[in-house]
Amino acid sequence: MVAYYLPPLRDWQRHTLIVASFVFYAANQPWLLLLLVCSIAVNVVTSHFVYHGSPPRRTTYAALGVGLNLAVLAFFKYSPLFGKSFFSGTGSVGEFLVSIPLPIGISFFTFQGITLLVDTLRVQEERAEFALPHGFFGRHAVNTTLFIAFFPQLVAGPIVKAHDFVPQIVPKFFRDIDWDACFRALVTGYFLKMVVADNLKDHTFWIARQSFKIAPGTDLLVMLFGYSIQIFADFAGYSLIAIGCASLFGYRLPQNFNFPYISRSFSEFWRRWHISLSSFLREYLYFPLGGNRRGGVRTYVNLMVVMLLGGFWHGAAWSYMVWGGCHGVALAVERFCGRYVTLPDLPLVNALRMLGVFVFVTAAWLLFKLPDFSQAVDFARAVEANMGLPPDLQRCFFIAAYSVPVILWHLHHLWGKPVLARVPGLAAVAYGFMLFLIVTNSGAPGAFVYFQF
Amino acid sequence: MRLIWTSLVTTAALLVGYAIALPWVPAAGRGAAETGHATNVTRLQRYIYERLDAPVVIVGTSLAARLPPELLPADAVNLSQSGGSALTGLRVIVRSGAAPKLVLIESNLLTHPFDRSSVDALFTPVVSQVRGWAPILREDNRPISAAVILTAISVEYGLGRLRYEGWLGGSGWSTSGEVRPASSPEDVFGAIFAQIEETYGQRPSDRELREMTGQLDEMVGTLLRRGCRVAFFEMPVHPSLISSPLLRANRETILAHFSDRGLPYLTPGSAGGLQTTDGAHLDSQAAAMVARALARVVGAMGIVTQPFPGGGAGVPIPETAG
Repeated sequence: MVAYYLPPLRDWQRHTLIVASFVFYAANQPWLLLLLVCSIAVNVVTSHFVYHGSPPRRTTYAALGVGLNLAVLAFFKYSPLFGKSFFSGTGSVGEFLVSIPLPIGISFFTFQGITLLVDTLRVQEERAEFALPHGFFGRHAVNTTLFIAFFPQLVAGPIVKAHDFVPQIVPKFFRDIDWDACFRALVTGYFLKMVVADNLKDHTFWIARQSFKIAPGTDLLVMLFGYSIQIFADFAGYSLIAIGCASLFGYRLPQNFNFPYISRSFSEFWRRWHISLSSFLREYLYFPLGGNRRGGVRTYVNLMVVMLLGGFWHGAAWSYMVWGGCHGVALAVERFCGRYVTLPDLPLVNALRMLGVFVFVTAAWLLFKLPDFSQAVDFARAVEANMGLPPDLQRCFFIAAYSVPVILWHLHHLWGKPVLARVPGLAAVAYGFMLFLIVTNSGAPGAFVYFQF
Repeated sequence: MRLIWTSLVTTAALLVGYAIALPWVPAAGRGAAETGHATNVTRLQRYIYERLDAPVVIVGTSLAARLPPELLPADAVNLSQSGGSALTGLRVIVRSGAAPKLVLIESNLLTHPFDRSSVDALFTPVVSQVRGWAPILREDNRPISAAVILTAISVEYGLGRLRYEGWLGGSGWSTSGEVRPASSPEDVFGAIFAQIEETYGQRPSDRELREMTGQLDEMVGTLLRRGCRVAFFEMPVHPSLISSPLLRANRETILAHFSDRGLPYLTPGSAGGLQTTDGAHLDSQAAAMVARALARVVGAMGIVTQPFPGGGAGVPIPETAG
């Protein structure tokens, strides 16, 4: 960071970040850096031709680039699934497909390549305000590399769109850093990850163990609730850390979570949960499919297609597609009912709606934790059958204790009168308390849940 | 920047306040590990900061972690790691610079990789030293853990009922009425046993065995140079697993590799009569028998320790061999 802001090295800021990003990526699996570099090269070349190519060929180049990105994603992410599903994982083909490693962050950097190509095409076709730096190829290559490889968002988002990020690639100055904003994002992010998510994971991992079948039903429900809080804290925490880190280098990343568990409808939930993915799917898939402008039936079909593919993006297992399908059905039913029923805007009604959405979303997370359907069914059976067993209070209390910060955070926002902003010094005390717990009560370090995607 | 400074001052004040209050936290809240990982880390931290002079150290996995400490020699330390590797405890002894009189290495699952991140975290420069004189930074003094454990104990005491004893093998299922779980414990243990059989049925690859012996060579060599005695021991398992490919490969590799150095290899002659909860882990009674037997072996090897408090009848396992 010191080198980054040194005035004599200001012209090398982008290069410094690129080197740092490559080192960051290579730290885990060095040889997979080659894949990242190849992916970047494909996007640099194809976007260059999309910008400079003759008008009839621009769409072809863009389609080629998007196709290559999707091919890379499909090969590395879904080959093991196809190997297991269609080749039984045995034999030379099956074993080869199953053995293909999943490069970390591939779902994210391939999507960013797609935004680059589509945005570049739109610039040329729609004469939009956003313009890529195509002064000469070298500068374009450096900027594109930074856009795709920028380390805070490289491995787990937020997914940044080219038209949001590329215009930010200008010289940065130390005096422009908003230290308080960085501090808030980093402390909250690390608190959510290290204190909430990392502790909860050691209590919820029993969901995936055989022994859940003899656990008390109350424990199982509490653990599922805890997993819902954990997955939020894990991903929201990572996103905030990424936003804070990027801010230290003068880049603004989009907000990825906006208190999703106070959503009163499923459409609102998807405007608040993993916002960068939702907006990507809306902008680059739902709208091109026609969105809601081609009649009722087509709208429902588009919704289902987007949610099924969105679910499948999350993981190489059919259960993820089912998970997306569940949300697609919920969105479609909600849209259909919304045409005939208007619920009153009363506190009790809103609270019940929030509860309903939360319960549905939480139940659906079970497919994340137990990708094997039969296990998910067994889990549901065990909840019902074991409800009479006395709960393990200690486990339930631990999950409740680590969930409290997330619940309070949502309620604080819901009230609309932020106490932290009104009472002088209270925010500093809250951040100080979070730091205290980070130092004294962090859980065992665990990989971010979304790294696997 | 005002926000940052005020927050940092608040954090410092809370740390100081907690350090002052810690001695008054009831013992039930302090030192009670919240999870299996916390138990593992707590064992390692207590060894590093409080028990580095222990004459006998046991390193192992969840199998040896079940040995009841009250039946081991009073000054023996058990660094076995639930869900982990014996190499983790061994690495901690080596990195801490300790020189116990005897190190007992459980050999059942030695090909499991050691927990590098936990070991590195234990020896992080500066942090490790600070943790030495600031117990509030240790795993067993986590404030939320203490608060929750004390609350749970109070509520359970108030309710007048026993706590649910654990997920596996515990005897404390306090069911009420005629309600039965969806699957009987036997079904579940059967499924877990099948998983364990599958695990033990897979012979480690040559590369894994080479890595294991390479690490053992390095660490055992270091301990021998420090004047320690080293012995391997096998925890008894279900009879059907004793000759499984996993155990056989580990056993043969270690015997072949270390026989020329005269390191004892203690094996359970016959595990007949010992009960396991899932095929691999001994139940509490069997674990107590093995702990007593190990204590006798330690005595037989001429290792002087504190008086053995457990007593009890002699047990035919483990037998020394090799």
